[in-house]
This record gives sequence, C-alpha cells and structure tokens, in this order.
Amino acid sequence: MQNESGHLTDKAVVTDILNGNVQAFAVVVKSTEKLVMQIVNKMTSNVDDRKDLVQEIYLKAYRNLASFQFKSKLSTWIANIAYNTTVNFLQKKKIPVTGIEGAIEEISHLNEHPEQETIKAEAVEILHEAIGKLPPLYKTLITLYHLEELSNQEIAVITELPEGTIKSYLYRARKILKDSIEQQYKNQ
Amino acid sequence: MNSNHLSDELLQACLLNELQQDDMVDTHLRFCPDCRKRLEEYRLLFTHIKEVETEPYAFDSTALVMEAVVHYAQKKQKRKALFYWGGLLFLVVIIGSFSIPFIPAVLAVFRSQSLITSLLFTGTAVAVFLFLWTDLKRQYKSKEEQLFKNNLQPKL
Repeated sequence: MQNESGHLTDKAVVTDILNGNVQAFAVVVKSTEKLVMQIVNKMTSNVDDRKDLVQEIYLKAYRNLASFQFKSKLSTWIANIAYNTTVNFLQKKKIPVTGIEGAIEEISHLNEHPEQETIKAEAVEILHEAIGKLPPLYKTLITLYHLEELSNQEIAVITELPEGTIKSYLYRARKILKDSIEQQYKNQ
Repeated sequence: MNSNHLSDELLQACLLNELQQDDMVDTHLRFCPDCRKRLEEYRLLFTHIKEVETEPYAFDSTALVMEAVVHYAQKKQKRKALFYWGGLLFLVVIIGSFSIPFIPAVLAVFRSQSLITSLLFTGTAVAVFLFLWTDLKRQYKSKEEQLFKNNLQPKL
C-alpha cells in the first residue's frame, strides 16, 4: 500500500517546504486537490463553504507539516485532515453526517424521467442523482472507494473509522444505489 | 425476501473479489435466477458508478490555497522577526539599566588616561566585540545549515 517511491517524493517535497520553500507547497496542493475536493464536494454543496474549507484544510496541513511522520502517504494524511475538518464543519452546522432514513425516501422519488435517450445514460444519471442524495459520509465513502479507487485500509486512515464500519456503510450505500437503478428499470 | 437467498453483502463481496472460492455460493447462483438477477444488478451498478462524472471545480484551489499559505508564511516570518528584534531590544535595555551604576567608574578610568590610551582601549574593545559577533554569526549559520540539511530529513 505504501509506495516507496511515493514516500521518497513526499519526503523530498516536505523537506523542501520545511527548509523554507513555501512555493513548493503548490506541488502538494496540485497532487492532492482532486482527492480533497472529492471529500469536500461530496459533503458540502455551497461554493463559499467549499472555498473556506479547502483553505482551512491546506492551512492546517501547512502548519502541521513538521509533525507529519510518513507513516502513510502525504495524500492520505491530507485527506484525513480534509475529512475531519469537513465533518467538524457539518457538526457545527448540525448537518447529520450518516443519517440514512431521509436519503432512502428521497432516492425512491428519483426515477421520474422515462423520456431519457438510453437506458444506460439514464442509469448513470439516476446513479449520479442518487449518490448526491446519500448522506455526506456514505457519499464520501462511495466516492473514495469507487471513483478514487482507494482501499478500505486507506479509507480507514482517512476517516478514522474501523474497516468493518466502512465495509458495512459501503454495503448499505450500494444497496440503496442498486435499488434506485432497479426501480428505474421497473418503471420503464 | 426468502432467507435462503444470498445476502446483498455476499453478492457485493463476490463482485469485489472479497470472497474465497465458495462452491456453495457458485451452486446457489447457478440454480437461483433471483440471486443471479441481483448479482447482475450489482454488476451494472459497479460498472455505472465508475462512469459518474466528478463534479468540476468551481474555483482554482491551488491559487486560492497558495494565496492563504503565502500570507500565513509571511505573517509568521514577520512575527518571528518581531520576536527576535523585540527580544534583542529588551536584552539591551536590561543590560543597559544594570550598567548605569558602573558608568561613572568607567568614565573615571578613561578620564585618568591620556586621549591616545583611551582611544586604544576603545578601539581594542570594538575590535574584540566585532570579532566575537562575527564568530557567533558564523557558528549560528553553520549550525542552522547542519540542522536543516541533515537532521530535518525525516526518518522512515
């Protein structure tokens, strides 16, 4: 899991930044922004909130860079900061991170577009909408696992959740998504 | 749903290759059209999910972050410089105030000597001070280099 060459690159970049080369931090941002944005975008919808969160996440990473111990990849460490910062933000706003009940209800009303051009395109669109309706944590887990192709172990480091819990959340989220596609086919 | 059917967890695990070869599962799938259908639905889900497009970024995150990081680094640098010069000034004031009672005695020594001797004393003192100051700076620089170029390399 822990790529040796990736670690060496991380080490070189981190040392460079710690030696005072602030601009080298742009390399870190460029290489991790997709992962960070996946987490932030999946858990929040307001552009201003996203901007604030992205700034806060990277400032935290920059301030605490000296404490990074290379026990994981730098991207995983930053993703962990992103996840915790975003969850804290949601908790402050009293937005539930895992509540699934409302989501199931909403997803069951997604399949009201029988005029789509192709079944597949519709399925992908329905799926996109259904993922959007999932609770923030489920959405993030699905994205990290299926789109970012991270392992359960890496997701566990990022979210600080036990692997078993992650698997169980992923099973539930996939079942909801499968049911939403199934419902769509039934309606055609 | 019939409890004899394969669970959703099991079907997902089959597709994710998280299961060891299981003849019972294989046999069940061969003879159960319901479970085969559900397995196929999951297979479709796993295919389609990769085609879901990632939301495009609404802003340039690198520019946004670097602006904040550079601003923070500059502020930190200023704070560090302020702390350094403030500390130095404080030290000078403290040493100066402790030296006040000794000033008349020192001046008396200078007054009792000729001008050339006084200048010689002062010149020597300034030369010693400059020598010590330069040496101190040189030592500080070499220690800083050692610290950043060697010891800060993180160990795996």
